[in-house]
Amino acid sequence: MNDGRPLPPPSWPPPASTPTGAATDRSALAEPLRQSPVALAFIAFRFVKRLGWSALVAAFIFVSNGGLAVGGAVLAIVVTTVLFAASALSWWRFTFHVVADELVVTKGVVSIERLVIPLDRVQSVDIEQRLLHRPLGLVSARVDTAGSNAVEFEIDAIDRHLADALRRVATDARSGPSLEDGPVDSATASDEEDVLVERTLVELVVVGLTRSPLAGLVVLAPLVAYGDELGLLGRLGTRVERSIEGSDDTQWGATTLLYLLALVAVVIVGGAILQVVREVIRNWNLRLTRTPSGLRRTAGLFTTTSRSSTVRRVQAISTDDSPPQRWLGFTHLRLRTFGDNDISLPGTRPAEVARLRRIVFGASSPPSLDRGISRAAVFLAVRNVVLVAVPVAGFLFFAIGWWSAWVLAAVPLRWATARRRWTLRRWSLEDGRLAEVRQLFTRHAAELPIFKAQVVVVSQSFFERRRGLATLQVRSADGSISVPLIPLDLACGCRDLILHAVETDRRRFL
Amino acid sequence: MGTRRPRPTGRRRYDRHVEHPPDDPSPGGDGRPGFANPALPVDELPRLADETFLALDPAYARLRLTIAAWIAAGVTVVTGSAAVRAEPTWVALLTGGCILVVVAGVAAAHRIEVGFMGYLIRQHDLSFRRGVISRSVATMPFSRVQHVALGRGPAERRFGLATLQLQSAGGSMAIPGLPIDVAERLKLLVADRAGQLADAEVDDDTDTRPTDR
Repeated sequence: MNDGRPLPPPSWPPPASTPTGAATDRSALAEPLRQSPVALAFIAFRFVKRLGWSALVAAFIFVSNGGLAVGGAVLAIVVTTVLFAASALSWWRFTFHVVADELVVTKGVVSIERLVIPLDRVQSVDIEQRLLHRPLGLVSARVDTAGSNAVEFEIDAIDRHLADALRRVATDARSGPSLEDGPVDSATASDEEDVLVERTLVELVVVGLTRSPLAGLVVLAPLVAYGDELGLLGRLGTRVERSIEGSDDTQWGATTLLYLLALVAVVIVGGAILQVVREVIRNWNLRLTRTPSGLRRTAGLFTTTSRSSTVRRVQAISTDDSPPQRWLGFTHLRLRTFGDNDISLPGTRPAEVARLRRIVFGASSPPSLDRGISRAAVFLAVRNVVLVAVPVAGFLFFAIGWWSAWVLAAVPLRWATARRRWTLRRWSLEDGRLAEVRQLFTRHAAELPIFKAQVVVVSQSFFERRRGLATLQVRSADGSISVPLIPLDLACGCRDLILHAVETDRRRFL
Repeated sequence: MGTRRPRPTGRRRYDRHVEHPPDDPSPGGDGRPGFANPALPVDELPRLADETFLALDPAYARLRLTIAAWIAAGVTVVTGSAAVRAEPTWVALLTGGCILVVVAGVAAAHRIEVGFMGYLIRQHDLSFRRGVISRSVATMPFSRVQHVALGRGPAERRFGLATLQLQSAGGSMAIPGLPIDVAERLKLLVADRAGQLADAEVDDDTDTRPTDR
């Protein structure tokens, strides 16, 4: 505990230390430490972000259009100076150190804020190495606690060994041993990591190719939307018609159509390549390891991110997969953790899902998903479309005549999609887990242990009340599962069961 | 031959847990507190739907009507002054009339909604019921309450009411229209119960001990 005595002055560079034990880690963090001066760049960038890019652009336009013609340079110098001064002051004021079992952080520019965080409340220390960090062996560290949904604070640039020491100290505090228990060899503990998931380059390429195969078509949307206004589509249609009628010069229409098809193919391939590039950059060398304190995900080509979380922090599991991914037998798994650091694992195989499910829930069997929802879901979806489509078609009739009947094509289309959604929508409540799956083309599945439920809501819309149906919603600390259109008695029974599980289970949810 | 105990039939999904003697806090026999989850007949679960909810203070209905009346008065003043200046005046009067009808409708809906609102305190949780056309009952166990607060706006202070605000990690719940003394007592009760239950929580072994190696 901090006893109020004045603290020794912070130091930079930090004292050298080698990660050989808890005592060494704590001694490395015992004195108030400043960040590396490289942090100035990140702090300045954050100030600029707060200032707002739009304000900067507006100022640039104002100056470049003759505003402040004489004082433009002066304004730029003043703004830069103020920005640098504020960044430098923020860097100077920001210190952190560990006193006994507390992490003490001092920060602020105008008003000085002092955070005292009990180490056992630190949920995760995420370490990230950006390109700017790499030549100097620096990293940034984000410290997250159970007290809020947001990151408690972020250290922009510190030595790698200091970040690791901070993470180990927090881990030791959470899992029990302290200095009084004698020295603990943290390096040995770190070596006991068990690799749960690993991705190769080929697997990432396959994931990228199958994530959204037709995403590239999005770039054609502006052409379709504004092509007519630009005269492209109209001219093209005329030429194609003439070519088909034979009144235009040879082959032009057919050639154009071929070009169009080629364009579509190019944008699809281009979109797929971009997806692959994105996947590789984000998830290069992806590894999920089981550490003595929980789970750790490491990945990234340019920015290497190391994200750690206790197992208890995981509130739910969800998977998303496109049809090609289902055919190839993998899915995109997300471990939904409290806060904003979900653990995302693309290309996860069923065996890996089962293993992670066993770690998180203690049960490896997939949920039975043996229940459906009322067929009224189909009627509701179709009715809503009819209520819109019929008046719209009626109004359009006066403008375009019988062509307006095409609007009504939305009704059978909606019926088909709603019926497929209804057929594939399943849920179950068993083995202490609430699970659901939804699917039209992309399938989304989620599971949450009911003892982690925070709020349980049974609601009835007017439509549901008339049919004796209800919606059951279970909210966890990260994400919720909502089961609509089930019998009211069943919804109330499930609620009672979930509340009983929450209120009799003494395990911590976080 | 001794009599054999009849084998249970109709195995439920929720009876797959190991049973422990109710007076034995250490199922592993090692003196550590453990988690027991014995089978429980679903029919014997406490049913929230059978409970009677407590109504909000009648002053809350008056408060909402008063707010609606203030809005109506503001609309009347604005449209009245516009009607004096506008040409033709019937446009402003018609607009003002429509707005007044809407405000009156909203006030009536508020009055009816307050009649449907209610809260229920059980030993382990707190529920709030609301809605006229769409209805909902939200329940938050005390063990999930992160913090509890009382909110009192100027209108609530005028009517001697308060809003109890409960915050959990998965969302919040607010119970308006409570007399201030009731709200104060509820706040203390919730804070007390949340504290007791937080102290009773235990670490989950699976968290720090890998089980799949």
